[in-house]
Amino acid sequence: MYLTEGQERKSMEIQEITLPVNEIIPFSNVDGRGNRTSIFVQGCNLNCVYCHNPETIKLPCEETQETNYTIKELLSIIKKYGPYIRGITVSGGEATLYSTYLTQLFGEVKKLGLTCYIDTNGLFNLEKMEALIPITDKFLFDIKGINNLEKVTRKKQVNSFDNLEYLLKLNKVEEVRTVCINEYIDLESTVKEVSMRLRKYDDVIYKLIRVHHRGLTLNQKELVQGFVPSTKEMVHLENLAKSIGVKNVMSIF
Amino acid sequence: MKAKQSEILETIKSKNLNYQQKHHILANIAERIVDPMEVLHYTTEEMQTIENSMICDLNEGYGVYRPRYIVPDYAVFSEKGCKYLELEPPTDIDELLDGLLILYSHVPSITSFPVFVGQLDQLIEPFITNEDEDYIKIKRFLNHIDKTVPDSFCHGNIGPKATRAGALILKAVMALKNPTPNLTIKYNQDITEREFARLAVKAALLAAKPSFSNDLGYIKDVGEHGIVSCYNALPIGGGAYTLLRLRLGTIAKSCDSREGLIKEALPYLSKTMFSMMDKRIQFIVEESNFFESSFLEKEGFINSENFTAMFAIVGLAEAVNHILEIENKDEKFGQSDDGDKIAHEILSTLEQAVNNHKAPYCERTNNHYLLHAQVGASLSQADKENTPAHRIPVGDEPILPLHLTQSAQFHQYFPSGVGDLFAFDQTYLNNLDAVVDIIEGAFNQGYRYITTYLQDSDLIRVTGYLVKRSEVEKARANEVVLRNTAMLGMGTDDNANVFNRRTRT
Repeated sequence: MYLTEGQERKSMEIQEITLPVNEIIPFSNVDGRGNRTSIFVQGCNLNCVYCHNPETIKLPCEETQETNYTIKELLSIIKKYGPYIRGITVSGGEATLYSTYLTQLFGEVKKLGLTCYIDTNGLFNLEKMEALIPITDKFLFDIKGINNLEKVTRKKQVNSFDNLEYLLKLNKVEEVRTVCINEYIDLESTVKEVSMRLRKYDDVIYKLIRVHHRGLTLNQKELVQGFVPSTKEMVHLENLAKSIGVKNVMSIF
Repeated sequence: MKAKQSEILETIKSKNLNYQQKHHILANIAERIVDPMEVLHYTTEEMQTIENSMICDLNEGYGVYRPRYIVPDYAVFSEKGCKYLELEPPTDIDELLDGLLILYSHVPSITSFPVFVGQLDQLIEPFITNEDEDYIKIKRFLNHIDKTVPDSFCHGNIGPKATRAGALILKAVMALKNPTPNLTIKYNQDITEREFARLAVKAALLAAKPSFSNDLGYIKDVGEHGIVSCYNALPIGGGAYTLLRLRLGTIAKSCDSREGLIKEALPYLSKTMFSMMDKRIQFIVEESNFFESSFLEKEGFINSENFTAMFAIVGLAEAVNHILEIENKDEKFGQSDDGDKIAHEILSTLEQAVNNHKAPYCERTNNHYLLHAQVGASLSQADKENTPAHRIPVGDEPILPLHLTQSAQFHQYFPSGVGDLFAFDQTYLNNLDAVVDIIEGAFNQGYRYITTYLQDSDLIRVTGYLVKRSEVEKARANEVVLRNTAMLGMGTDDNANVFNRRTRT
């Protein structure tokens, strides 16, 4: 069968497209259930004050240090770890910026009997995710907050609750996370708003992560210091989520 | 190694041994003071291989009067009681646990303590009536073993099926955090329930036990078996007469080519070790009258036909590294494809030798000895130059997935036992499934046995057995300690730096 010129170009593109990867962690026990290989992409559409991987924020350019992997190259690495992992998690940066690539990659990874997760900040255009969502097993979903988001993420944006709602209905969410930072966001309202949506979904974990300055840049530390919730405040938030009916709440200090 | 008469008084006068330890050491000296050339008919050539440290007899002695490892079938007690000890079959959990404790004090071994205390969950399960009360009894029973069998080569098994008794044992193990008894879960991913596997992983991380054995793999090679001592798989109702080991590192260093090692040194030393093992076994069976005089044999707890013996190695890493060096390859075992090839060449040479040798009184294992990856000993200077078993020396370990793949390829050679151990960090406690994935992955890659523990806990794995770091520190300070294994742990750490294995994060 002959391919049309358009089809041929497209198939060549697929073979040649690459993913800018900042780091690969062969075994991770914090990026979803079980043992997983985590792939951190370079480039994010947000710039959160407390970002734990600030080096992955800049989109690929001359200053960034990433390795570009073709699908074949990435697959050969995943295969090496394959026997001991349950699947892969693509994190970042923001994985959904590379939905075309990931759709192709996940198709191949599935053939190895592994699951595919995406860790996302939730700010993506659903239309562009049409092909990727069905082939993704689970999402780990950040909810930054419900108000003043520009202050935290330093980008103009719309909120991501619609995307969360959409994925929840598809049973595609494994965990939702909120980094707890005082004053930048209205923590109590955020936890309430998320909890109202999660209470119907018994399996979904809600992780409340206390912002911390370990590993942050000096500049970030200045922005975060003084806004770290106390243990008491964290316990209060956890109890709040539980009282609304969320079954799996975890505070992470 | 032959004993010197001076060892007797040195032992008697020692300030850091307790009474029981002195007693055992004196008995061991007696076994080693009889002349092996006279008693066992060792030849001058055989003696020389011990003296030049190429073959190590693990101080087993020469007046051998019991098998090294005994693996009683304790189910016999549940069914028939024990006539010799005047015990009726147990009718409740108290009689069972009490009877077992009595039996343990009559089960000999090379350490004088039992190296196998049974398939504990299967023994206890039929007697469970009230889980809260039975938990207290099980916990007391396990604690009793720790204080009266102060030697963590003592080993119990659970699994592969989840049972109430198994869960209570794991709960007690986490609460007690004792070195003894050592514990293994026989694992089969098709039979062992996930929830039970997670509980076992939690206990392993918090209390350094149980370890996980690949049940299907061992059933295939050894049949019905117990995991005993460090991690040895031996026939139930039987055991191992003896275990001698080749120090591959020391042997390789005497060779100046790969060919010299494979074609000359290994065949010669295998032959020598076979001959010594044959003679030891003949002495136990034909002259020591062990089987004739033991109630264990008379009443069916053991059957002499279920015994075999272990042909062991240590120092694969050093042997490979020496050959790599001779061949001018700037690589190290554990991170070298060529190194792996040399290792296969060494092990398949030994495997072939073992399969070609007809071993006396080993019908249970088709008249062959079983290859074994031996680990713990610190008996001489030579042990510093011989990393335990087939393992990668501490400090040369690759990242975990590559380490698993590297070591998995060698587990096939060792039907009577082989194992690798990995120190994890705290974060794994929040994701027990991640550890289960690693264990199942390892088994699917050919692993027979895997141990995990938390790097920062007091209780840690040395080479197959457990010690408390705090007790080893006491031994270092010349204080008297309860457990013999703490002293061995100290020696092994000095030799192989095992307390500082790479932490897996």
